[in-house]
Amino acid sequence: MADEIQKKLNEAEDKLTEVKETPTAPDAPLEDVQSGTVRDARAMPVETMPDDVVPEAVQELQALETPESRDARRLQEASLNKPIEAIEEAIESLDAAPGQAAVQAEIAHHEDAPVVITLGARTFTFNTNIYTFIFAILGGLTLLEIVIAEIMPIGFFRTLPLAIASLIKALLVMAFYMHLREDNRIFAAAITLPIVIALIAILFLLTVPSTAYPY
Amino acid sequence: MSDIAKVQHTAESPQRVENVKFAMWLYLASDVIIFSILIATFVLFRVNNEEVVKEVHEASGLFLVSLNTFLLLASSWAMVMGLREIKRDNRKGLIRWIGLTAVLGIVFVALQGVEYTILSNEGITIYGSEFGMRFYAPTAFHGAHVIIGVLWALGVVWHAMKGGYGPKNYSGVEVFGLYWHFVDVVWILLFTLIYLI
Repeated sequence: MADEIQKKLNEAEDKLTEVKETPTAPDAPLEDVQSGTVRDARAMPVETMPDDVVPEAVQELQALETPESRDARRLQEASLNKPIEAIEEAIESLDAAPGQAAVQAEIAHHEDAPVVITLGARTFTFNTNIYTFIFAILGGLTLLEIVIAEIMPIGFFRTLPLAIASLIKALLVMAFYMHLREDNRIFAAAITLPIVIALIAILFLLTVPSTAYPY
Repeated sequence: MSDIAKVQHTAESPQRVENVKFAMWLYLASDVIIFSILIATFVLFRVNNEEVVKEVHEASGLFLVSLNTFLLLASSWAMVMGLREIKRDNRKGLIRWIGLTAVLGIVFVALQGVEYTILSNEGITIYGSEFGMRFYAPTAFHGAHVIIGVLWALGVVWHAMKGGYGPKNYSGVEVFGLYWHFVDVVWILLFTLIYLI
């Protein structure tokens, strides 16, 4: 996909260079486009536009224009349009591209919609709402935590997965149940700041020996 | 249109809703600091007294507190389902789900009372051991939050029964939800830190 887009962009750039180097290419201004998009404006020949839209100077030029010179102008305009259209197509392809989410899980978040998770090329649909789905994950992670705590001896390899599972659970509740995913970012900032300060304080305190420093 | 119908169908000002929610988040931020102090105290004790905590783990077991954890997670789910119902203009659904939230909260507090009784019978009291104060302070402070949350949930149910909420007027439910889910988040961390690690 990326190669194809790059190829189209290269083609567009070549065409643009070719037009720029052509001495007959008109220096056509693109500003003051009054229709919805540039493409719409291009699709409308100037002679079909209402009089109040076309500037007087252009109207005077139109009156002087012979059928032959009009055909030549349209040809020039068409040649100018080609690279622009190629650039537009390339941009549209970029917009439609799936991005870097090949292995990234994407949860379709809507209160009433079934939950859809895309993992690479495979799509899994769960016929339940997002809140019940999250509850199932929370329950599953809690069960996993209990199993780990029961079978693993106390130590780093027990603490690490438990801490990660706990953190994931907390984040899921905050993101989906407390709606931090879609709410104002300032809410997330308000709760994150004290958490960060507390974490720094706890990590600092952990470096202090239980018998205090010897000096 | 009756007064109740007016309340249910009059849209709240978005600015007001944002302000109320922000105020709740600021309150929760202040609560984070208090819980952090209690958690830090426990963590430091835990790091330096591994064996004491191990003994306590063996004395109390995991069943009761695990059950309590599932209850609180379920109450959070019930809470958010209640909010979903009022957004869909289902007031009865709101009452049912928030009522369930309150019931689960009450059971949580009751089981925590049972757990405290078991531990005190094992000699783990606030003043009886160094561990006691560090264990009871965060868990009991959390329990107090649950009790307040249960009262608040009952208040929401009562207000809903009087027709106080509608699909365009549910910030009261939403703000209570923030509080309740926060209590759930704190328990998720406490459960792992105090009972599992």
